[in-house]
Amino acid sequence: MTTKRREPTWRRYQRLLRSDIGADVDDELEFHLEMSARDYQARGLAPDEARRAARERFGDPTRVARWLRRHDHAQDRARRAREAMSTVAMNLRLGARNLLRQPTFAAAVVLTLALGIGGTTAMFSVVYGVLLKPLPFGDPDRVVRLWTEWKPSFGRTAVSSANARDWRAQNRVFEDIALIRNGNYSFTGSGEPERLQGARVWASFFPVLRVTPLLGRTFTEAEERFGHENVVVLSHALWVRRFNGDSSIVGRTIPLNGVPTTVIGIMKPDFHFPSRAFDLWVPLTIPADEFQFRTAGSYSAIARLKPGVTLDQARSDMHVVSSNLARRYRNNAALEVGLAPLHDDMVGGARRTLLVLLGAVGVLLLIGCANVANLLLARGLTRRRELAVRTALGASRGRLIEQSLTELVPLFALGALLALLTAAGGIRALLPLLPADLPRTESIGINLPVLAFTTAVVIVVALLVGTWPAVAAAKLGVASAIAEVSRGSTAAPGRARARDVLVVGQIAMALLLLISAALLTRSLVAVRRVDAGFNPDHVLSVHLAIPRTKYPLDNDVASLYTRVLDRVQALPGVMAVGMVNRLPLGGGNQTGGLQIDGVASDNVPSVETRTVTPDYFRALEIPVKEGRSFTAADGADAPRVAIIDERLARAVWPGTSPIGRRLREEPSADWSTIVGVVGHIRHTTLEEDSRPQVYWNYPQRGQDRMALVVKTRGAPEALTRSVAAAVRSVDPDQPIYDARALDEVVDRSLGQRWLQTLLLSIFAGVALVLASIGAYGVIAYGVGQRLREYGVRMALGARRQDVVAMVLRRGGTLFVFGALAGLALAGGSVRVLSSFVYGVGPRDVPSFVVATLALFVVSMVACYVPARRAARVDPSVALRSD
Amino acid sequence: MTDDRFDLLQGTLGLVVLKSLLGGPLHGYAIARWVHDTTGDVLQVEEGSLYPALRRLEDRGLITAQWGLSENNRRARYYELTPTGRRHLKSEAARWLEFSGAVTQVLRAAPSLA
Repeated sequence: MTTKRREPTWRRYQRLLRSDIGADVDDELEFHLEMSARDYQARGLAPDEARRAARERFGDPTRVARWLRRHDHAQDRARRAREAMSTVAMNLRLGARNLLRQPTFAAAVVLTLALGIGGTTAMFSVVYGVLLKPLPFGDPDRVVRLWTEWKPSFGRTAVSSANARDWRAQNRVFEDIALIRNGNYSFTGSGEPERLQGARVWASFFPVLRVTPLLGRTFTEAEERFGHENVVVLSHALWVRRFNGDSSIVGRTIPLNGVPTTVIGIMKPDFHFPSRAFDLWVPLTIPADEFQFRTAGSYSAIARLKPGVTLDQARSDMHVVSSNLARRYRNNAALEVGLAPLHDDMVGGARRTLLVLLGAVGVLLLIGCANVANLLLARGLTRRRELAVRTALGASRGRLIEQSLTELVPLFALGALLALLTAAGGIRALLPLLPADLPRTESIGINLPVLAFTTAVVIVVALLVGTWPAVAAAKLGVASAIAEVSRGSTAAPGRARARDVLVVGQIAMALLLLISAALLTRSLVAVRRVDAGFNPDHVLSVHLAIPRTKYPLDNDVASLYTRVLDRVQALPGVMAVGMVNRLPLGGGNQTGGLQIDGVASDNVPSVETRTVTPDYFRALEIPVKEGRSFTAADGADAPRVAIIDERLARAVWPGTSPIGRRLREEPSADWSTIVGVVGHIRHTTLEEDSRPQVYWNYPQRGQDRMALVVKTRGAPEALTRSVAAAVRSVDPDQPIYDARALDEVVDRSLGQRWLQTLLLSIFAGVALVLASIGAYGVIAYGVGQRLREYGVRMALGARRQDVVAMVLRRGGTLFVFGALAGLALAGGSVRVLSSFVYGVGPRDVPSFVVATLALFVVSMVACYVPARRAARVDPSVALRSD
Repeated sequence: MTDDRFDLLQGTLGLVVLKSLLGGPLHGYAIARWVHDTTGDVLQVEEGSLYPALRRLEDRGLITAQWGLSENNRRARYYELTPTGRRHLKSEAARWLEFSGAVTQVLRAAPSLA
């Protein structure tokens, strides 16, 4: 029997150093065998015999050792995992406790994170939904948009059916091509007639997009033939809204434009193409005589690339096709095929707007991060004693950093949670603000990729703002730590400088945002001041889409329009009423070919064309400069007439009158005589001066879709109901849609600019607040540290205003450094900014001055609060305080 | 030697080991000696199987192990009963005695085997 004695301390350290599980197992078993052999020897066996006997008695030592080693290693791993977990749990608990103990600090950090990360998340969800998320088609990257390009500078125009048919037959790079034409449908189910936006598409439309219906089927090519085309595929939204999602609707007929049409399929909920506005798809039937027109088109086209075919290959192949067509048809001479990935084409200009906004909100997040880092640094300063004691007790620097970071986890978890709520609220607030021309807004929301983004941002921010203060706090050597504990008043100069750097950075970034916001605001003002050439004030616009099934002849349509005009004109409060087939600044443009009698086609500029009624110019106050407007006498059978704008007149007939000259759209069309010259107006956007304009006369160039413009004495919207009633009194089944004051139409054309300016101004405002909070924090802390010094100075005769000036000077120094850096940043961002400004230069002096002044005033106010506290110090009290 | 055999022995061997530690901490060899001396070699225990059994008792928190120095100044691993182990030994021993008593009673009952 043995008695246990304590192992000497040095042996334990040896084991700590070695900590070798295998060796321990061997030691234990070896000890056993040796003791056993020794007993045998004591009973008289020879040493080697004794050893053999001991081994026999034991069994197989290597097997036992192997078992023990495996067991001990497993136990060791489990123990270490438990220990690590408990360390983490302890630090988390510590963090949670600190959070509760310092509620102001915690709230400041959590709120800053929630705002910064929430804003970034909201903005990113828009960017993701619009720019990054793949289109909900099969292999969406392989779908391209095709269009007709007029050489040399005519630009992009719609596709004609003749060209599309030839492209389809002659290309070698596409699986298939599909033509699309927008159509308007009045659905006269139960209740008021409703106008629905539809698309007439080739049967290849669905295979090109690789989409399948939820219910039923899509079209066959047989249904593109006249007499077979009365079938329709409905959008999921329309199906739910008008048919309560009843699947028995498939196979039944519904009245579309007064024609019984068989519902053959329902699309899936996520299918929105060409856009969310589209509620139905019908087969595209093309009358045979249309194929003689090669240049005048009204279709858009999409295609799917064959596997392995690149965009460049497709472009060069289509170049060959269009060259062949140009040789064969005279009218094709100036035509080339344009081609771009569908997604890029849909997103278009929104990309720049959104990326700039994401960048701006990212800058805002950085400013917020600086505030959080500042708070953490400040807290690190107040916890010096605690850290110093820990350091003195032997806590390693790694351990202190690890602890500081784990302590932040509850803060950041709470911040991230609130950030998601903020983002959800932000998205909800943002969606109605998004401009009507922003594509793909239906795919904006908080989804998995957005969550992944937020998580990444939280982690990056945590490492960014957490590590530095932790390292700074841990860097304190033991000696200085102890010294600080005993002295306890002077701030560590290094960290004070770190906080100054943060504030300078904040001021610089805030200034960048402020300058950008000022530039955009001034641009918006400049754009709004642009003279559009017409007066949208007190004008109501209402759209009409005439079903050709009901009014097959152009004369029928024209007489319907005439009757509508008469009824509306008779309404009380109406001063003038006209129609145009496409509203100015209503989005989209309409260009076409033009031939002028006696002028070589090279000298004919690209023009905008519109079909209008006689009083259109009067309703919009577009001046008639020369000649006359259309009149009731210019009927369908009267000589064909046209009106041009002053710009075309100046360009083609400088110095002479164009009245009496002739022009036409196509070589095959009849000549129209110019009877008047009107003022030039902005058609496409306010910012862009559009092309010269030609107006056709409505009975002579029919349009299925017209916008009524009604100049009123009172509020334009108030007239909507009576206009609708007037239209119904002409045809009870005729719906109207998109009723808006023309003012609003003009504003909507500035949608993206409005959004950008509004959001950037909000960001700049928040940045201003955050930066001034940052400056306040640093100055206030500095004042708190130097109260005794101020007391001494005042005891020695310094006046209150001297002390205030001292503090403000320090704030002013920070501001000057920050402002210089910010001005440099803004100056460096000129390239980005210059694409957004309008009417002002990207280095617009007033913007820079106003932004700098605003930031200066606000940061000085932020510094004045602690300065006043410094000046109110009672010298005797300050000298006594520790 | 396989794990199965350890398991087979474990129930009773564990009880014996716990009992051996009732007098105070012992190292593995001392436990083996105690078992040998106390049972007079009736329980044929392969000594190597003792160590896995010790680990299992340790895992269950019935004993703890600690390195110490043996009577001849060698480094040795000492095993000691925990309070839990002590309670466990008490209840298991009672159950064992009850069980073996019952078996003995059955085997002694008439008609005798002879």
